[in-house]
Amino acid sequence: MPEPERDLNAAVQPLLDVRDLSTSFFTSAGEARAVDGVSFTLRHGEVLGVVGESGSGKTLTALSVMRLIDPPGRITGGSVRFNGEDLLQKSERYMRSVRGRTIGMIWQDPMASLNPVKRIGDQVAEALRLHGEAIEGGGNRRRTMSRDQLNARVVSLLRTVNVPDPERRTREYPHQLSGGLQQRVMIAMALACEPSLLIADEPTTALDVTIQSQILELLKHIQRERNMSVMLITHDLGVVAETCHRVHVMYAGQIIESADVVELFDDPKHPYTVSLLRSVPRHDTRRGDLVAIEGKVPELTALPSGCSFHPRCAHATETCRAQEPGDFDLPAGHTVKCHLYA
Amino acid sequence: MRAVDGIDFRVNSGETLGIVGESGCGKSTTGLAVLQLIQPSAGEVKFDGRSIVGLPQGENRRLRQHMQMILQNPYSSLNPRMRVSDIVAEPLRNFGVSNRGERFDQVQQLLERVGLSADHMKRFPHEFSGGQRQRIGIARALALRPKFIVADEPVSALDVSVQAQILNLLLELKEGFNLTYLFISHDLSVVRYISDRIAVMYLGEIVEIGAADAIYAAPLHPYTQALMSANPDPDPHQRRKRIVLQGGVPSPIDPPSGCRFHPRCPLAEARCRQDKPEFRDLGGGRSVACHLVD
Ligand SMILES: Nc1ncnc2c1ncn2[C@@H]1O[C@H](COP(=O)(O)OP(=O)(O)OP(=O)(O)O)[C@@H](O)[C@H]1O
Ligand SMILES: Nc1ncnc2c1ncn2[C@@H]1O[C@H](COP(=O)(O)OP(=O)(O)OP(=O)(O)O)[C@@H](O)[C@H]1O
Ligand code: SF4
Ligand SMILES: [Mg+2]
Ligand SMILES: [Mg+2]
Repeated sequence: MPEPERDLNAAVQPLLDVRDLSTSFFTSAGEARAVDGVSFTLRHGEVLGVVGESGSGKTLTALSVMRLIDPPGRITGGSVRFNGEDLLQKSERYMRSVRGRTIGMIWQDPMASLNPVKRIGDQVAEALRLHGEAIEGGGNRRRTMSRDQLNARVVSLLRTVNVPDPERRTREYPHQLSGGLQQRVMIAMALACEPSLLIADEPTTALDVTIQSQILELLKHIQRERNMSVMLITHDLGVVAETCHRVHVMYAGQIIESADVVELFDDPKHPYTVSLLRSVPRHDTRRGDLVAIEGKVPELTALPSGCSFHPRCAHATETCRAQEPGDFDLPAGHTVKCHLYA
Repeated sequence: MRAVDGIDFRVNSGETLGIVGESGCGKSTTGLAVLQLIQPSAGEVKFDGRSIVGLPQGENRRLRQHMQMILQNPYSSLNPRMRVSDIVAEPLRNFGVSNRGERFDQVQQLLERVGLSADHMKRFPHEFSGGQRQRIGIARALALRPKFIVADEPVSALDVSVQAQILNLLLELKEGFNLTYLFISHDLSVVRYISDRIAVMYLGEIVEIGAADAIYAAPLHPYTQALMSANPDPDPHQRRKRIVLQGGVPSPIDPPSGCRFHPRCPLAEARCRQDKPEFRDLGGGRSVACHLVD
């Protein structure tokens, strides 16, 4: 994928600028800081990968950006500037005009997001109607579409996401579609409003590898064509390597390393990232070469002192056990949260 | 419906044969049929040179000692109300190790062997992480000192850092216990890492089999080629042109005529629609079912 355009305007103001975002769950076991001071920016036309093992806070970071955290969870601090406006300061009504409109979303399980008793065509049409309202709300007096116009738009949208025989599919129900087709419908709905940012949370995890590759190619194609920004959440380092421009690695609710994709894979700095990359087989891994990370991901309600990774880290020192490391900037926009780079 | 259809392969003593393929292609069914946990409607399974289809119950039971299974889901395959020591001891009890003290010693050794400690013996499955539960399942499978283990997606439910722990454990135990594995997975990278030979399945059939290195270096069947090219590799320098297959896997209830892969095959010709390609031995341990490969 070509690098995103670095036009001057985009350099001045990123599309998304998240600072110190924190989200906690308040449970009987105590406070679980599921998102713990996360900061990052996403430029126009950039594909950002967020990787990390189960429970590292990837989904909750995305949900926090969209302000979709329900009790006992709560966003406890930070800012989420989208086009310069802090979403955390906005009304719920304003957020409804953002979700699924200027920011599109796709989740891992399409069946959980599609309405099982409603025809595909009607669901896509509804997503399009939302867009119509959004335009009217924006002061642009476009007339609401006629039924035929709407149907034609639905079919053309399904065609954009390569749903075969789209006219027939509009009359079907979600369960009549394969997982791959359901995910295409979800993408069509997310694209209906021509979002400038698409958040995709494990969009291909439930799919077979040949279907995954169809969906990833489709997302790349649409991303390029529309110069859309994408936040792609996945636990699959292979998917990241093949799709993203930039990567954030999460561990225990924090971004512990962030770099351009080639740099991250060629020259990982954080001991966790280094170990993570050694623990997944690639085309040139010889038998016996996989190095496991001993121990396990810590409980959020009982985080280790200092650096959360220190109990599993081969380089840990007294400082690591006592003090939480800050973010250290390395050349080429590479940042790492580790005392080794102080 | 034929979940697997006329497949033919052998697993050599001491090797790991990997079975790869997409969901529903019949990997698990093959594993279960090999272990005689389901009865194939036709065909033969030989173990140590002897046919094991339709054995009388007593013999079947004896055979069970030599053949064990490790399952994907360490959460559902362990009885939540049993203590770890009882879970691992169960096969020993069933197969005549009646002395409690002896069972206890063996369980303790087994748990240590899979990287758990004696402290864990009195605990229940819910008190363990996914990787630890998979270790418990492995300890139980090893209890009767089997020669042959079918591992059905043993690491698919685990986080990558834990996956590597279990893969390395399986490799180490293979040496230590002289095991032969049938290793089933949809993850091509994992199968490549662990297998000596690989069988690629599509819609209930094996379309290609051969040495793992040879298949990954030069896949011959168009489906194997597409599968390999679709497999995302964690190396951004490997970004390459993918072979993107059209559509999804057809229903096994009414499989396509001729070559079952023909509706999705980028190279299909007229004969592919009519004639079923023979599963041909190309020498060097490689067999392929495709009209275009000679
Ligand atoms: N309702 C909740 N109550 C308490 N803790 C929660 C709740 N929802 C999530 N968490 C915790 O927040 C942490 C982060 O969860 P999150 O879903 O963001 O992880 P993730 O990185 O997306 O993992 P996965 O790869 O499994 O999807 C987890 O440790 C989880 O247990
Ligand atoms: N008990 C059953 N009754 C009817 N059909 C079944 C049964 N079990 C499996 N099948 C069918 O047999 C075919 C092969 O299934 P199998 O479970 O062997 O596939 P698999 O390759 O292991 O898939 P996965 O990767 O999803 O585990 C599938 O089409 C499946 O729907
Ligand atoms: S801060 Fe210390 S413990 Fe944490 S990763 Fe770096 S070296 Fe390891
Ligand atoms: Mg998640
Ligand atoms: Mg299976």
